[in-house]
Amino acid sequence: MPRQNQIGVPAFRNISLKIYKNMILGKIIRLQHGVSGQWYNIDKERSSVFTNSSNYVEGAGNGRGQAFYGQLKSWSAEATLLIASASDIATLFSLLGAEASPWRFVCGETAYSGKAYLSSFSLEANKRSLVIIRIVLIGTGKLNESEI
Amino acid sequence: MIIGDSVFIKIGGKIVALQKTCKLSASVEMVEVTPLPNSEEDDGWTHYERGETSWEASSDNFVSVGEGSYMPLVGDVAEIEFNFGKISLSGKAFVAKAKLTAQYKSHATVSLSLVGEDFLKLA
Repeated sequence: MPRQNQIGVPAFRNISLKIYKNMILGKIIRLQHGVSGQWYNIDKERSSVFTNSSNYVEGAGNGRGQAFYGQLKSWSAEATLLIASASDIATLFSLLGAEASPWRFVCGETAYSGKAYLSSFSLEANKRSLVIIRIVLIGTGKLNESEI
Repeated sequence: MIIGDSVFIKIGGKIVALQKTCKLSASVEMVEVTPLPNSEEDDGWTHYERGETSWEASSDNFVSVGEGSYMPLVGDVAEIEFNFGKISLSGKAFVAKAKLTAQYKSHATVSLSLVGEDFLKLA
């Protein structure tokens, strides 16, 4: 049966987010990320894309598609940043149109890393308040977990 | 840290009068390119490529009728500029929406929504 699977990440403390090696974007005041799994059904049409259709029909016997199930995982992250300097804006802007870049999330003794696109940034400037930027990262490929 | 007082939205080279807040959002469309299941490239994870980029801006302002004040009209195509000291982001945008609120015994305000018409550039 198709179903959804959610892997929760515990509350973060001592979070830091690094892009490339040493560059830290402003000060993170909130960061969330999660990995979600999705079950998909490979139907006859989709199967025929990667198997020979005539063999497929013979294998299935009755000509009807055979169902397969698998788990497809994805990850994303959202962070709220206080911008330290105008150059942070330039960094974010350059990342918006760039290829996926490596990101690292540190949570206590565990680090998560993977390649992600900067999917969006949203800047808010309220008079007499600090400028806040919200960013959304969409992971592409595997999210690795490692001990620090 | 950057304080909001120093960030302004300019339209047509002029600062929109009496701004309270301004916002800028830019996003990239994500196109899913996950390899087919059981293929050589399949690693069980979703893969993406970047697609089209778009941006929009908005600002809340007090209404000014003084000399030199400037308020764009809906439908205007305007040059927008966000200033952050030495750095600025600018581009051409449509004024998509202007909402005027005039409450009794209170300051009149206007909210502007702008949609980017071409690319946003960094200067």
